[in-house]
Amino acid sequence: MNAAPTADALPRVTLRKDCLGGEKIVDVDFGQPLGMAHLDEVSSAFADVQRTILADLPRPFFRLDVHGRFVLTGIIGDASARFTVRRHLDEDANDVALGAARTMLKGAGA
Amino acid sequence: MSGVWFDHAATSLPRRPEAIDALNASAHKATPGRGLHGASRAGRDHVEAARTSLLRATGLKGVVCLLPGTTAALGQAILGLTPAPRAIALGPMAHNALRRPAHQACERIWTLPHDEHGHVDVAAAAAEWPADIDLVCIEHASNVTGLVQPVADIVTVAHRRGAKVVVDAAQTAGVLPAPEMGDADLVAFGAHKAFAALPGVGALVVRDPSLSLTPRAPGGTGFDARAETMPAALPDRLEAGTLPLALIDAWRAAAEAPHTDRLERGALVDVLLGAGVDVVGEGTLGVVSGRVSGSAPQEVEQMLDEVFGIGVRAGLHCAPAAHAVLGTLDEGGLVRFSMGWSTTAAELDELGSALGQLKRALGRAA
Repeated sequence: MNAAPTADALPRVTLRKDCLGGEKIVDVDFGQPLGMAHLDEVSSAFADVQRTILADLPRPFFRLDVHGRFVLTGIIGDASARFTVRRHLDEDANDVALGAARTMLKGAGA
Repeated sequence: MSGVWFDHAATSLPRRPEAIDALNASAHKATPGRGLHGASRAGRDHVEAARTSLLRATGLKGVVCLLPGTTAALGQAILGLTPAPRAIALGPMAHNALRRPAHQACERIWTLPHDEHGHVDVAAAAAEWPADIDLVCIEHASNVTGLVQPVADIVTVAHRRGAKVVVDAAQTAGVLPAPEMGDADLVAFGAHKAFAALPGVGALVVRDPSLSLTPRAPGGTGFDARAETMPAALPDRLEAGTLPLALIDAWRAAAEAPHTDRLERGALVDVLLGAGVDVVGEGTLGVVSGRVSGSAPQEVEQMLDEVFGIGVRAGLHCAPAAHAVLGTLDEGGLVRFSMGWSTTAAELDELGSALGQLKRALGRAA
């Protein structure tokens, strides 16, 4: 049986690709199911966040638009989520995504 | 992986079972055309039989040159033509596999006149035709909207003016009859879309084998080894290196497999409109793109995949020219839904249901 990833290994980037207009998609593995507490950390840590939860879908889908920085999308309960990093930050896309992911994990009591 | 596939315009899944059976049977076969042992000769026979099958399946006439895919075939056609064209007439909905080699081949590109959907206006093209057009690069059908271009008429105009015509038939080979492509000089298509075989092999059908084409990837041919250059005759001239026999056999098996009736485009359009999707553009193939209001295309793709297990494709579809014509370039492109050989009515219902749920959830969240 494989050893569980160490805390230092997570969160980690699993996919990084260009989106339209130069925006970078960065998929992050958090190593634990994401819940509302993780999303609350985003709202606390960043200004001007617009949150949308599509709770009526068979798997609830979330979208957090941190204006000017990134859009975070994913499924409540999944261990991974997608950051679409805004164009002016594209050179630091991984850092932006991982920084936000660590904030989410720390605040939610990872 | 998405359980329900509506991205056949990218690649057809599942592959035809005949293709997989042939792939497995050929995986351990010898390299064709290398050596004189029976195994190599048998491999060569398979390849020649595949060429015949592809001509029969497509109705095209000419020499079938096997290359790594449609993109390689288009690049070979456009960049290998000698002398290089002075100017190129380019299809308005061209995929990057057509557009980028065209721009690399020459600086002077003239886009064929067209309507708001990207349909070429042949009369306007004939009237406005620049005198220095040596090559026409035209998509037979748009991979974004399923619009089919009047290629046979375009070929007639081009030939009257002394220009050659390269056709990107990635979306149409094996689907639409060959006469729709008229006497096109070079037609490129691949194994893994309409044929539902495997990626990694494509064909360039050259109507006139005396056409002057410089090989883009010279190398070993398995014969005439002392020669400094590639053979003069097609297809060997363009086929250096080891041919992927297993992929070719898989393609042949798919091409010879019994025909399956495909669902009509109208069925897909009805489902999308019924679910509140804003369909963009016009076409006749089972490739339809649109918008879901309240959600960016990439997010629709993500929700359909991660919530419902349905695969579609969002964005520019490697065809920014098409999105420029449609006016969707600046909004992040569109969501594309494309049917294939295996699409069923039940899958269409599933797609419609998922989209309906998405629309209602977005409406409540707004």
